[in-house]
Amino acid sequence: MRTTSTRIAGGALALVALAAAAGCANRGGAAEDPADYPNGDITLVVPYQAGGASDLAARTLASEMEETLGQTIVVENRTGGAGSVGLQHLAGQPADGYTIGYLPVETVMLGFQGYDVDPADYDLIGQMVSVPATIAVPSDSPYKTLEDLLEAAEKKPGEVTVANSGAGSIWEAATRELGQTGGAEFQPVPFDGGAPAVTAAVGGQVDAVVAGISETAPAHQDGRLRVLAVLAEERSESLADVPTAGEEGVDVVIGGWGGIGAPTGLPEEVATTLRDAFATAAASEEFTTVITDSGNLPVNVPADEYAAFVESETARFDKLLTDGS
Amino acid sequence: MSTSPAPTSEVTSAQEAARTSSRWRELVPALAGVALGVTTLALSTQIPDGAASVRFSPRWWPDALAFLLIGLGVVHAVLSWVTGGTDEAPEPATRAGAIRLVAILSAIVGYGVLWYFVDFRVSTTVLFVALTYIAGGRGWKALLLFPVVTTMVLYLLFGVLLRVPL
Amino acid sequence: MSPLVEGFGALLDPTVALCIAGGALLGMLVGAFPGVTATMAVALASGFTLALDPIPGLAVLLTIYVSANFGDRIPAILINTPGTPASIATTFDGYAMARQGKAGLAMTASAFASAWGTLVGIVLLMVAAIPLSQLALRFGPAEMFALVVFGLTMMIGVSGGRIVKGLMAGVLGLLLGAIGRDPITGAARFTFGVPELSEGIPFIAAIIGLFGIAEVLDQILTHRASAVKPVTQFGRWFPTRGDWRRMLRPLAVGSGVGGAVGIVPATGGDIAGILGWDQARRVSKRPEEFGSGSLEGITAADTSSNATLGGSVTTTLALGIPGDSVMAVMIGSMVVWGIQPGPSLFAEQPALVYSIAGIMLVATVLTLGISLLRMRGVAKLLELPPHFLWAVILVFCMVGTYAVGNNVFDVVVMLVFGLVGLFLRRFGVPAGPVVLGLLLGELAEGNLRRALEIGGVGNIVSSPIAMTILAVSILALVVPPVRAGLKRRRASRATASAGEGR
Repeated sequence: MRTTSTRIAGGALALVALAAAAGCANRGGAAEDPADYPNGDITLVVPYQAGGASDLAARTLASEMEETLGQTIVVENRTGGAGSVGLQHLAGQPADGYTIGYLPVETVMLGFQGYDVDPADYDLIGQMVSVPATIAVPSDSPYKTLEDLLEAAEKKPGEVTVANSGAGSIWEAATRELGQTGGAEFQPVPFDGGAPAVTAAVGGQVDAVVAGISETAPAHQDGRLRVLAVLAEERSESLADVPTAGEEGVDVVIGGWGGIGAPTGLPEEVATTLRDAFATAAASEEFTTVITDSGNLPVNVPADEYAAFVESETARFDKLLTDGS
Repeated sequence: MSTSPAPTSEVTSAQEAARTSSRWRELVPALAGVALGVTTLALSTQIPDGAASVRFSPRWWPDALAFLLIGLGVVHAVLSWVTGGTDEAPEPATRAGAIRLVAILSAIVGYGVLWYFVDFRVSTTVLFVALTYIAGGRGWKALLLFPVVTTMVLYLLFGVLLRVPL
Repeated sequence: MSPLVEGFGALLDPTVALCIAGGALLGMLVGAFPGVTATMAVALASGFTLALDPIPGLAVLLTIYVSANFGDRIPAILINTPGTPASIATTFDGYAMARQGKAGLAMTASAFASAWGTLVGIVLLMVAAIPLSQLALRFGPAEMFALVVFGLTMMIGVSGGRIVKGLMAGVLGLLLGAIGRDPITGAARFTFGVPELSEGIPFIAAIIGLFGIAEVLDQILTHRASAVKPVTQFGRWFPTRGDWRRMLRPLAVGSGVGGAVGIVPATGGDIAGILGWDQARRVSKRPEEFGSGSLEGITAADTSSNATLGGSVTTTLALGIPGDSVMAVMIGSMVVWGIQPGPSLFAEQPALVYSIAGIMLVATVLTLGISLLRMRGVAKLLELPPHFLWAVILVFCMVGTYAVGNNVFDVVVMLVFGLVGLFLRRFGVPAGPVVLGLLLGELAEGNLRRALEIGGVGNIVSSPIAMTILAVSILALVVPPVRAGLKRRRASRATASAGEGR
């Protein structure tokens, strides 16, 4: 026992010294003066788990913004409540620019699903990712075009099953909007995540799947799925042979997106600094390469345009989610 | 609830007494099960019934489970009353133990409050001191060295290495 | 043969060796820390490894994955707290063995079983990845539902002889699993307006509470200063020849169960461990020892939960579909490296598949070595007097649980489940079925309703796989009592013609 405790005591001194040094380095005293901004670590709240697509986009952007801002950006994953926990946490932080956050499409959806999340709680900085929705069928499916599928769903309302990543997800909403616009009634089947939904389509358990382009494009390329349409304004690079829904006569543009925001009330100088840093980071080759490689679309939407987009998205989901259930 | 007779002697009368008390003991989990089932049924009426497009109501599964739980609770109550409960009683609690338990839980709640106001390194050290003291640790090694060292290990691992906001 | 040589050859780079060593240490550490999972470690490490080349990067990530599944056994055996969900079944017999003064044997057997299980999984990956992954595709909601029903038949096994109370505990677990948003309509159920509850009870926090915290609280409640008897006896460390012989059967059963479960997408070591444990109990000559310190039990549990690793990697690589949550994170990294998992990977980059198998192989051997070497040091933890041990367990579990989602709510859930676990324990209700219910509840309801949404009852009835599994489930329920009844009748007839026909 004695030898153990002496050894512990020896190690303790070293540990204390190390931790003290680390502690000092970590807390660089954030100044209050907006003119000095940024002067200290910045926290980027991500409302989802580390390792997901949102986390990847946020971390890659953060490391690019660090270079412009000359400060460390610490990514903080605050999970729970379908993302509402992290978003509420962000809204409750001081609007000094030292806490910013990743805003997913759910920011405008959750408010209509019984969560206490309001897009008006955030000052927008910019949008950097777009994930167009796609609709895909198993490769041996009789449906060759979007029209075929819609026709079948019109003839047998509620019998064409379409998998999505979960109840209340953006892909379920996209399924509903596609059906409404195309005059057909699909049977949405919510799965527990995007991967199981795509698997169900590959395995032929469902007639079709609606999922983000990053999830369906690889399967389309090696022939396990056939993507019928991309629900975007224009064709995507990774699926150049696949028409948009608009080309097929169904004018639906919907999908996931991700941007950066801060609690409302940012001082003007701080907001400008952040927006400039954002634009540089989102345009950087490093960022666009990582996002493109992960299968999604890097974009670089400035704050005012982003704000108008968020407003129109809010109106869309108000209609879609309040009518739907 | 947490106190039960200590079977200290090997005498048969003591065993018999333990058996009778075990009958009563076994009623507790049975009643808890029934109560939980009834509560579930009451609460599930508040679940929105969902759109007509769904073949099963969201209430169906919890309701079925609640009825099952109530049924099992009744079965358990009857069976253990008839067969006279079980012989195996858990290790008896002590009065000192109960006090210790309450003290430790209060310390943890206090820690939760303290953490909001004070830095992690300080509050956790204080918590370690409190827990060790309540559990019976005395002397500078137990009350000073140990709390500081373990807190530092935690801080290094999580705060510095894994960058968790502590 | 050349892709094999090329794939393994790529590992001779000293950078790779360094990456494997680093990954092994980190993985064992996070594995041993309750709350922090392999998923979290891999996710955080992937931030750094993206800057590396694919092979060294994969070496770090895969090694963390492998070694975390060794490290998590340590707290499961020593303090009844699963380091990650994969070691839930390790606690069943591991902790009981430790209390009987056989911690040494438990840890050695666990390490060997874990290594064996991992190796079986790797061999599966190398030999039969493509055909097995095609089988995995057949598992839709109907088949998953049948598999979960089979899982529910284990309730009786993990009840440890107290069947009615065990079933009540199981239903409690299933009910707890119903908390959260309805899987089909998204309606809030029993969430009381708490946003955190909309995703259901946080599973890791719940198991740490039910096992580890409940054990500590119970000790606090019953500890007597006069009766201090810390576990200073570790018993013998290495299995004897007789032990090895007893471990053979559970090793075989565990490998089979774990390999099969690993192939099925979205199921992992947690379910496989319990399933392997229960199947080994069924075929054991001494089933009554299971749950109270059976060498066979711990061997089967650890073999089975680790045999899923190879299967998960197989489905991930061959289908491009994550086999479990760690693999979901790893796919993200692979895609950025330009490796597109899917059937074409095996045709276009066979060497890479062998490299991956090679990394896992080296990682397994290395981690087994570290486990055997370091075990004595780690086991010294039990020599700590209770006032240190209790404080360490309580605080480390709290901080580890907090770290998963930076959410205090998870810590509260852990403590509440600690109290629930204490209540269950004081009244002789087994905690195993609660965890099983929590694990399977959402899968059972979600997949049943999903199957019915897709094609009504016909969707289940028309699936040969689903019907076979359901039939096996019924047999699993009916055969043991019938066989026991026959045995008893035969025994009573043999003893005498006395009328003791019970």
